[in-house]
Amino acid sequence: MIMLTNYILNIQYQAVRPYSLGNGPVTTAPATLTLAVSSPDDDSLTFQSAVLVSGSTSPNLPVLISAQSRNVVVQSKFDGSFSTVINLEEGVNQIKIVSFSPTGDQRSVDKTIYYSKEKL
Amino acid sequence: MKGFRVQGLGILFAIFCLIFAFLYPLPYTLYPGYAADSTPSASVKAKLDILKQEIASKAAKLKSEINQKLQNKAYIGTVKTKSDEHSSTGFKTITLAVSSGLKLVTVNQDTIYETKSKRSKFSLKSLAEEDYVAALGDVDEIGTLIAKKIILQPDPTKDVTSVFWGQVISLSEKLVIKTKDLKNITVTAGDNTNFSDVKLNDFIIVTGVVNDSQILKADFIYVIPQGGFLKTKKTATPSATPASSSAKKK
Repeated sequence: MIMLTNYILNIQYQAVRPYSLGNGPVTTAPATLTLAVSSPDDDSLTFQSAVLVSGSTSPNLPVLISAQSRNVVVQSKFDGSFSTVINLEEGVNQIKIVSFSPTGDQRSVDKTIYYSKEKL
Repeated sequence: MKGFRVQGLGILFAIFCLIFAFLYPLPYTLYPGYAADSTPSASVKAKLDILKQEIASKAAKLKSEINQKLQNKAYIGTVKTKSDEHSSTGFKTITLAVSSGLKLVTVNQDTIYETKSKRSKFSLKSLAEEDYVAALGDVDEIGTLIAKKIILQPDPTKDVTSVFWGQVISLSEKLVIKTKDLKNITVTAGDNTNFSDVKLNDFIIVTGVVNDSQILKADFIYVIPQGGFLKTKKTATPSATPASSSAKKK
């Protein structure tokens, strides 16, 4: 039982163990960097001042979410998923989502959404 | 002779008894009876009913999702063409160039026209080519937006925000990063940024606008906590050169 617990903890530790320049990469770079954004839908119209930005990329990578109102970087989880909520400005909002591999490879997705305070 | 006949009859009787003993259970073993309360048609019908309910539920969910995807859409882009009223539908159409390509927008007598400031008047007649607009409404199955509102927007800013990833190789009033392609980018602090959290050799993500002098004015800087590494350029190995004079082309 103790061995099993240690084994699970060890796997989890390795999963989030960072890579560093000095000791060389512990986490191997993904063969192909992917990025899929599930929310928000492109060309969508929203009546709420905040929107969920979520998607998936390779595990444990920084993901930049850049909007007019705010830039934020979130870390993708062990399964590659990421999510955050960003505030919108009234009118047109261009949102750029970029994931970065440890070697600087980038994948980028652009979304355009419109925030209206008044219902149509 | 009589004894033989009696013995033969006995043997025949014994054979008959044996055959009867073997064949008697046959109807009960080869053709078992079914319980009256679980007929095959009843169980199949029940399963079909459950399946029908599941399919109906999934279809309703799918329809709801599709409707959600078609409702409340916004096409934002520049006007490319404006067509006259269609003879049969009575709709007028506008073609917009949006980031994903050309999109068709139909307008009707209920479409509202607004400017972003809502101060100046605006109508379909005054809409000109290259105007930057947001068309709001629902889309049909082929992606044409039926506009409930068209809002004239100010021209989009010409400044393109750039995103860079790199290692800090110089840090003073300005910082210099070496990018993945081993190019050096000079970065100056923007109005809301400074270099207080940045150290030499850090790997950073920086966004901003590159000016005419190819200097990036940063509006966001993020130090990557787990670092990174730069791939060095590969150089030709000695084995790439001919090993001997015989290998040289004569």
